[in-house]
Amino acid sequence: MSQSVNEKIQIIKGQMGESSDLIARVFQTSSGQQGALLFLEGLTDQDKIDRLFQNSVFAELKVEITVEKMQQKFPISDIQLLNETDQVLQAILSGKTALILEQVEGYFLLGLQKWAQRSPERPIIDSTVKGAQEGFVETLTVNISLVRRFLKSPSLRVEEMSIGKLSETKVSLLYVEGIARTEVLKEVRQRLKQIETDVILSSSNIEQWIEDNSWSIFPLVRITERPDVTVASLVEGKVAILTDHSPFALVVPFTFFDSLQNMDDYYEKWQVGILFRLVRFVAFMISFLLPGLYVALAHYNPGLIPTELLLSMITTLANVPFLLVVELLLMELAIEIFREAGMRLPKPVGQTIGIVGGIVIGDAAVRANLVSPTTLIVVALTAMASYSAPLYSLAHTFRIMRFLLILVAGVLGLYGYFLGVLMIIGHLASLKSFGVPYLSPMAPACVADWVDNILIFPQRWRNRKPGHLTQPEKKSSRKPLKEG
Amino acid sequence: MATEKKETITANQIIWIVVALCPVGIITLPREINQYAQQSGWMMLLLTYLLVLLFSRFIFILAARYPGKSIIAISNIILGKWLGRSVSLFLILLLIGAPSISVRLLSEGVNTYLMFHTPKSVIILAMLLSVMYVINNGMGTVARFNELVQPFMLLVLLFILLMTLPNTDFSNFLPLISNEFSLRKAVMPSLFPYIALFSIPFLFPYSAQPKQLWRGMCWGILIIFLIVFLLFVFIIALFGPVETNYIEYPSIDMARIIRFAVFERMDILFVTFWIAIEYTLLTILCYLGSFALQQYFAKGSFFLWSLILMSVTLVLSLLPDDIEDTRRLSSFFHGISMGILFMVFPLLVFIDFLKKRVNR
Repeated sequence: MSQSVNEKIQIIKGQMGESSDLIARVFQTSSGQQGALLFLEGLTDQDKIDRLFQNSVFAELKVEITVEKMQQKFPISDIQLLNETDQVLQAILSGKTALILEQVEGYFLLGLQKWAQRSPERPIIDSTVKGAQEGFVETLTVNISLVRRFLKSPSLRVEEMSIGKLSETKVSLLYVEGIARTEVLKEVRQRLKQIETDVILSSSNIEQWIEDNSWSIFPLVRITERPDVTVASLVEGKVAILTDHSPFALVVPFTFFDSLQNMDDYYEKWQVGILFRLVRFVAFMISFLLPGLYVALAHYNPGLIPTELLLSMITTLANVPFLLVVELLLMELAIEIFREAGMRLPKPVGQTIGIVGGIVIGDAAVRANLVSPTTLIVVALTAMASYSAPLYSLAHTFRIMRFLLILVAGVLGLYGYFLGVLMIIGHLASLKSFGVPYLSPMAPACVADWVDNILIFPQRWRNRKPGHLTQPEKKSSRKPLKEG
Repeated sequence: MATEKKETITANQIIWIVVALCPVGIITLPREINQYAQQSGWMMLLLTYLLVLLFSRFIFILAARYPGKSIIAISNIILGKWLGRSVSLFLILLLIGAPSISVRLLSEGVNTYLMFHTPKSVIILAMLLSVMYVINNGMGTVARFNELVQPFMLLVLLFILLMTLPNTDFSNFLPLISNEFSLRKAVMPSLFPYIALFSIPFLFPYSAQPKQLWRGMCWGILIIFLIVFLLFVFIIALFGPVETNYIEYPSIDMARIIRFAVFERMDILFVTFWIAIEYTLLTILCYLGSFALQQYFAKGSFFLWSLILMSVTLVLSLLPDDIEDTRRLSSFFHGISMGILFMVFPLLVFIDFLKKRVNR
């Protein structure tokens, strides 16, 4: 082996600290030139490399070899020639194979990456009844292809960048040219570039870096594992951020009313869609308003509760030794424990725990007068309602809001409760997602956008894109389509 | 003097900000108008609405002549430094006094209907702290907050009014002109809903176009008029002019007679409506007050001035001995506020006109 090939191998090996998974396969061409292949085991398609050796492709390499000639000779489309050792090292770490030749000054990099990956499967937290049953996976290229399959438009743009000093995680920015607002795009690019971290493990890491207000518990970025949701958002003028190794896409800007939407609303007839959305809205109101209201009314202003209901409540509440606020908070805490235990345990055991926790312990607690049946109903109804939120992270928000409202209602009754609600609305009004007010299209009001964001109208009326997200469109495009 | 725009507000938002300036006193207003005009009070409301709309035009003229400038800067330009700053200071003092009286009136109502034993200081402090959080998020937040909450409040009011419809008797309005109708005495209570309109000029720096401001003001004043007008009409139709005189909070009693599904005490819905009215009013007045103080002294952060304003408001609100004392203060304040609307703003326009003619 010539000194130069050996030297090049040693430089790379030295930079990787003689890592045991860095493989060097040395060979000699028919013309007597020495060469070597450098790659990481597990990130490279070794079968393909073996086949190339078997077919004597490396042996036939000539002295005067160029990238073009290599592309003719090798059945690989991605071949490049690099001189900088740092860049070569980065390419090897990304799964590429470095080809070192004695007579060539630089390194040829062959796109022979291959690693274990999951096929698109049914989404777990973003499920629908009638929608596509495939979700994103951990491979960025597969995720981009899933989006492309839905959106066969040349206007779909994909911008790639690397984030994380150590992880160099690939992140892709997807948007539809001509629809997405340029100021939003600019802001997204800028925020992504400003991320200064060593490692990006998931989309959620990026979410926390780019969100507008990290003090707010309301989600300001949509996180979805569905390609159809991502495509629907892109067409509305939003921007999607896909991260390598993460089966979730981040979609921005995100508004509060987006969180009430689910793809099933659009896959059903519009009347059914309205019903779905209405039920979800009621569930949303119950999930964060009911427990606080219950405390305020039962503890401070029982006179406001209908007489028959009050009489039945009093008999059960009187037997419980705790203050109503404490009783409710304890029950909420119990629900949180059951939920947490159910999530961490294997699925069949988790379900059993849920049943044991919910029915057996709940029933025992009522019989032991540790909790009143009314409180149990309120807590159970609230817990169920909070999971009706289409957005997983919004369910967490509801829970925290609920605790806050229970506390203020416990201290200042109905008055404190209403102040708390008004303050939450004030907080929502203060939020923005990438420059778009969080309460759009209600505040600032854009009645035309209510058609899709709040209500659902027949499909032909929904051809208008949200004004707060997209570039201004011509008035003519706002007319409803003719009956087909 | 800082006159730069912080964040512009839309015409729609101006409408709801003006509506938010409707004071909490409208709860008792139907009784007060009824005392001097009986069933003919609706005519007084109509008359005063037209009068207020006419004089509001002077506010628009000031905005149109000095687009983007605050009333502090405008009065400096028109009246000169010393007189201008004195007028500005007077207006700012009113902006500080208004929330104090308003929040005290609310605390009396909350003590009567919701929190019977809670000290007024706690009720007021809770309200002010909550409002302080909202206003420190900026004018955009205050505008969006009102844009969302006000229409909802209006729907609640309309719902309550609709529910009382079966119990109404519109023959209570006959004869149309009451024998005990006193135009002179009834005019002041009828002007009460517009007590906080003097603060609109502080919105100038946030309004991108004066015409938008004028449109917003017209719609806002119209909605205030409709709220008060409907409240008065329904209360007289429900209780009649004689009984209304003896009801402390006629609007709340109106809601009390409603039975809706299992709910027996709909008056509480009205009390929440009342809390929301106060909250929205305070967001506007306290924001504009803090902003005006920051502009006037041209130093310190908004947070600092809002903290000072809230502390002063808390102390001032606790000064009156009882509700009657607060009402007396409110009447005095009402007189000054109307004086500004009907005299100070037209006078500013007139002096500006004269100065321009002399200069020409």
